[in-house]
Amino acid sequence: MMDSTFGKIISKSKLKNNISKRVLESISFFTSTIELLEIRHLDGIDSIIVEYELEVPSKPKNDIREKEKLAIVIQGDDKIPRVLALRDDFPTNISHINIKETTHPVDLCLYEQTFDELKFQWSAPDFLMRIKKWLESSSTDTLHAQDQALEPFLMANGLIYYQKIKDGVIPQFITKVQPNIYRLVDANEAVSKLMTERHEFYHIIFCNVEKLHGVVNIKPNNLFELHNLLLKADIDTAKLIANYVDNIFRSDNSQELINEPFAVVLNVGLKRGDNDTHIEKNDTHFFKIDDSISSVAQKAKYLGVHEGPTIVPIVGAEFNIKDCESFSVELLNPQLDFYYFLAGLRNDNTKAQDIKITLLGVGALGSHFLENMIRQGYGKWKIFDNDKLLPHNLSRHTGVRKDIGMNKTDVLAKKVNEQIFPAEKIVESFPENILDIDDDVQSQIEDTDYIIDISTSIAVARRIVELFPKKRKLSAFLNPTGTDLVLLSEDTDNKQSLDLIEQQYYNEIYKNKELQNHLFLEQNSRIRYAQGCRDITLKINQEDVSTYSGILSKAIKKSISSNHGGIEIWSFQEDLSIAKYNFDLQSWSKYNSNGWTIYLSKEFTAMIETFRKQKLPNETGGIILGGIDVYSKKIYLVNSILSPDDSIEKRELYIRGISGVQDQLKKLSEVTNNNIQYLGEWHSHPQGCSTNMSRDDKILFSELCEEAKFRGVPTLMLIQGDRDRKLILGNYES
Amino acid sequence: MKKHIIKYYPVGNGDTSLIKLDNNVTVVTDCRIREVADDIFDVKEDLLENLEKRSGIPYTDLFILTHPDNDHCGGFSKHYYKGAPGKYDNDKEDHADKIIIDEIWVTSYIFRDDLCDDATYLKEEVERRQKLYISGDPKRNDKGNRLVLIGYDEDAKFENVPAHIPGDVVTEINGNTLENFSFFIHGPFKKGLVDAQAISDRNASSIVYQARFLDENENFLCRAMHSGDADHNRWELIKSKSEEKSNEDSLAWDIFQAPHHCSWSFFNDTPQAENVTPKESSLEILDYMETNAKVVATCKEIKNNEDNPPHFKAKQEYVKKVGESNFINSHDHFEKHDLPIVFEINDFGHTLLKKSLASATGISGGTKTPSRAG
Repeated sequence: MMDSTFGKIISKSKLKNNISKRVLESISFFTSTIELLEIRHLDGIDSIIVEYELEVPSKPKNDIREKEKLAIVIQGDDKIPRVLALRDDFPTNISHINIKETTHPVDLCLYEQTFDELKFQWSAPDFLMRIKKWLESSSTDTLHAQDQALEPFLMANGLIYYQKIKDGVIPQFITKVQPNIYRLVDANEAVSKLMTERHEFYHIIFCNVEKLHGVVNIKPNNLFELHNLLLKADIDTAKLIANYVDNIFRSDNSQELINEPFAVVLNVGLKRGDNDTHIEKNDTHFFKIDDSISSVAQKAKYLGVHEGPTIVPIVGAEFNIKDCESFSVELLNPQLDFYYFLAGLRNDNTKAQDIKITLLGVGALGSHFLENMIRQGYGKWKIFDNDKLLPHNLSRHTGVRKDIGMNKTDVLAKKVNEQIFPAEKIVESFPENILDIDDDVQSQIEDTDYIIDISTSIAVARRIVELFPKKRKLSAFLNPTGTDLVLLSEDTDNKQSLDLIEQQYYNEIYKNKELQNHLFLEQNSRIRYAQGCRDITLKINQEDVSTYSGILSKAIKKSISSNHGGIEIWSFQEDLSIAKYNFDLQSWSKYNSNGWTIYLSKEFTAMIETFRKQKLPNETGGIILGGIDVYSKKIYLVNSILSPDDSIEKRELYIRGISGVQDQLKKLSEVTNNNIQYLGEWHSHPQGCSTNMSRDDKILFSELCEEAKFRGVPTLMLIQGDRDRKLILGNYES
Repeated sequence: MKKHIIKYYPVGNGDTSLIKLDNNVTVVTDCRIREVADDIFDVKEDLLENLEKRSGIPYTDLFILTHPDNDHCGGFSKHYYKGAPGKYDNDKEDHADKIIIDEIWVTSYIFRDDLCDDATYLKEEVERRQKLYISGDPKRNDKGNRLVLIGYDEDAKFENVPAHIPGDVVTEINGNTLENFSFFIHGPFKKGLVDAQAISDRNASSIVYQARFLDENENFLCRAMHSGDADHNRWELIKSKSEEKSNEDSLAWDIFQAPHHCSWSFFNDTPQAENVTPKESSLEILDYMETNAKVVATCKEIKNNEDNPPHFKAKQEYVKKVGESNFINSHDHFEKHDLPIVFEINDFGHTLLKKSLASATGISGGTKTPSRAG
């Protein structure tokens, strides 16, 4: 056998191929593992026969032994050497075996790439190690990666992709997608679509077995060989075809159907052990016959011609499969289709697959972000936006021309649910404005785990704080020029709601020297991050959106997996690096007054307390800075312009000066886009004094109220004492 | 998947073995640690790599002395700590890197007067611990003070000392319940100890146990049989007692350490030339082997001559049962693979580890100190 297969024994100097010499030399490095037995040669092909000494366990899953004899067959210097396991009873029911005409010797499939890809890196020692790894991993059945398609390197004629065949569901047809590319179609789709669109299709003759030893590792060349092969698994292909033909003749359009080609599809349910009832995985094998089922059945003398072109069954005929040697069988290389679970598995997101997320806003950033997430199998999504896709959106949105005029949420839901993950409802479309949703929709959002706001609308961000106080919320947006990305995230216990985080964010950019231009937009005095997208269309382009949507999906995944909230800003630098700024969330105290809610940041209170102490025994004070939300009646105190130089600070008197105040307020307005503004005055009382208003204070306060009327907002006066402080709100309405 | 290790060091004719469980519990059986030289494996270094440390001090949960012969306790005094665990001082040259033994298993034979220096050192430590038990000192339960007698208390010196006797299944050592592991105690029987005293044959007093590695459902993954230098008489008794009590499980083995360094004494009396036929009971013990079972011979190179131990004919008897490739000699294995005999034990049973190929390929590139360049 050795002579006829591998040729005569030769000396090593007679080796023909360079690769043979490299392999042989490497074997000599590995004497404790590889023993050289023989060198043979036949018709230009060198074979090196070796024995491997392996680390395999005493109770292996597959019967690989501690010593295995192998032939390394070198067919030339431009091909990967083949590796054949020579033991007669070497197992054949393991993964990564190349399919050939016979089961033994078993042909190990070591690489997934072709030699053209591998040749730059291929080394003989690595090759020899890979053989060892192949054998040892196969012994414990750990060679196969979980999501890997079976046998990617077989000698197949085409490729078929399919979703995992579910128990009890028999696929109906194979349809040709492109030359040499096929797809398995299940019953539902076959009925609804295929028949109306009249794709080129193949009948499926389906068989299901629970266990198979080695059968599928042989490649049958023709239908008769296929029949013989499957007989080993107790499958009678002739009978299956005959039954299928009988069924066709029970239908009305038998004369059409019988002229289509067919494929034999073999599904093997693999179990872990012989006594197991649970099927661990299904392996599916596709044997395609390009001839029509009619011509095959006629050749097998099962069908005949009656009255011209009409094909009819021959009464009482047998299906003579041995006459079918002339019909060639082609193997199709099966590839798992891409579906949501697999997407998650490949990206380590299986646990995140069922996280329910509300996404508000699917414009430029939102549409890219959503695709990033769903293509890696992350989350189940409810998406909200009442915008329609317009031509100018094509500059940055993931929608395409034919989507113009559709709601953006429908564009994305259609793309995801029909074109990427058909029949899986990953995205639910809500083409409506979050600002006026009804109770039903509200409870649908309540049912999700997180709310991600990419609407770039202050109104939306503030509205969700009101509507969903208990839900963890994250808000992301680009700055007006698209150079920076901002992510504001609440922590899990919602200690600081999104509106408080937003106020802190303005204060942080005001304080940080490097972020002074963050909200600045040239040639435009009315700059707000939330302004309508049309105003900024020309400023932000696809590359900014693309870069930052990637960062954003990573950041949001990270944020969801931890409990911490925070403020994060990414900012493009001149050299195209991206700087990152992180700010921890600060705590706030809360006062209610006259129907208004007033929040004081810890930073603000600490600032005035410290400043007061420095100035003791004199009084001091300053300007209160912060944000105001007239609609929700909320005021946020975040910062202060401390006592200007020209202020008068005495033991029982304080008059705030004005030196530099105007410049500071102007800068504040520019840097924070007017989100932090003048809110009122604070001053301190000396040690041991109460924080009640003095006579002077009352006069001052009434002045402030008068002035506030002109601004149309309430005013604040704060008196800081030793331990407490008094906060008085002057309401412009009263 | 849990991963345990059992390791037999190449120490010539002698024994040092280490069991390391998945949860890092360690059991050392016997000691033969020689001065390190070119062709001598550094047992101590390997032990220190494998043993856990407590406050920087290496310790083993359990040390089993099968019997106090020099080839089973050689080097003990140099490498193991003697004295109250609290007085260990790593800065003292005499203490540095000595291993603390949390719990010691010995037989009553340890109190003989005719012991070698290393055995005497161990005896002194046993005496120290024994006194804690006799006086009921609460410190006796501390790690580093624990003592367990295996078998019969011949001279009644082990009063109050806990004991395991043949037939016991031990599921707790060093105050902790073992996970996925237990011992079955086979010996010594009282007869062995009495014989040993009578004829001054320390080998007859050997502790014999089966180490059981179990999966989550308490099924056996691997059973390793260790018997020091016990001879065919001891084994015959073990076999008959176990069978009498239907303890066949305790006789089955996946790894069998050939007793007395692959001596003929396991098969019959010595010299072999005068007792050429192996005893039936010894061969039947070997028939309790499981699939892919291995015989481990911890001895020097086995040459085809009349030397004993190791004895060439003894090896042949083992090979007849398990096949040539399943007979592993610690000397040959070290020579070929640069490794002690190491088995990894997991859900797939035991796997004998061999020389890694990685060291010869690019994988190690850059990870070793290169020679100097000029």
